[in-house]
Amino acid sequence: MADGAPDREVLERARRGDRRALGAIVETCGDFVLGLAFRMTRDRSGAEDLAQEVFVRLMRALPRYDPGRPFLPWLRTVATNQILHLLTRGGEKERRRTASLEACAEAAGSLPPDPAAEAAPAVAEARERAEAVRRAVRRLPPDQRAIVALRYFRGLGYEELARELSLPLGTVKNRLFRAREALAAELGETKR
Amino acid sequence: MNCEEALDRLQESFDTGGLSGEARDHVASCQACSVRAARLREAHAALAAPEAVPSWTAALTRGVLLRLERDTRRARRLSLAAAAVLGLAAVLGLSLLPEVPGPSSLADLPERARENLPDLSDVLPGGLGEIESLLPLGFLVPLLLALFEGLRLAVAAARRSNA
Repeated sequence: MADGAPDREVLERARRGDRRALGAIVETCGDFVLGLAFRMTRDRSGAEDLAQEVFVRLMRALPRYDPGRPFLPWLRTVATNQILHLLTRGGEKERRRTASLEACAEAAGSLPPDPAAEAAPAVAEARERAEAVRRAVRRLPPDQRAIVALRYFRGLGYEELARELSLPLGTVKNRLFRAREALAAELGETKR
Repeated sequence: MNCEEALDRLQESFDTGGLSGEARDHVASCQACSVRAARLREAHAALAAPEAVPSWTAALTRGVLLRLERDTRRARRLSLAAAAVLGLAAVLGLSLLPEVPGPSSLADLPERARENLPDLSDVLPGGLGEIESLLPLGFLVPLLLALFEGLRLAVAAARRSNA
């Protein structure tokens, strides 16, 4: 996340709709929101669209932010919930997009081999592995993706995950375990 | 300890560290569990591996600000449109008021209907004529409320545009 929260004056001006202050907040928190969106979509362009949409919603929600509370935890929670909401709502659209991305990836696989990849098989293998993980993550249901992103991107423990997502501890563990199981199965399939 | 329990303990160890001896022994001695455990470890390692995350750019900030401005303009237009519609409705209503059909006076009611009217002399010392004087309020009050709401929306829209 950004080094620090925007100061109180910037927040106050942003709440009143000041363009510069809004821009300053977006700049300060951009990497965090984009990082989280990327971890949940594993797709750069999709993550950028998602992060922008999240910011638009965050800025609209800003007048409801209580200045007495710390800003960054509020932003993290709202951003996480918004990403999750958008992924769930756009689930069908995104599944189609994933399918088309996979079709492109398969088409790319039928192209002549990249000479650089041939020269460095280890690099090519690592890249392929990373792509397999990305594909596998994109196939997870949004609620499992959220848990995985928060666990691995933000390093949250079970209790923090439960608090952040307002879920019982058992549900958090269950979703995380199921996500790993699904990924393990998917990666096992890829190996064959 | 059964297979599911052992694998749950293994997964917990990814998040909290430390795998119990019992679970470790089970995974080591069970062929199916050791295969699943290897895959789970691989999935955990893949997720934990650092990945190049894209950085936020000034162009993305500009995109967000443009969206916000567009949304504000749209909301302002909607408010103005709503105010205009309400104002128009109020003006139309006021202009039609004298033409609203119906009995203009209790005297226009048929005789039978007048006979059936209850005796309200206790609550209306001025007689039924008092009700007649109140009848236009039934039309005027909603119209005035609509005018007020229209004005309120217009003022709110003007304030937003000045902000």
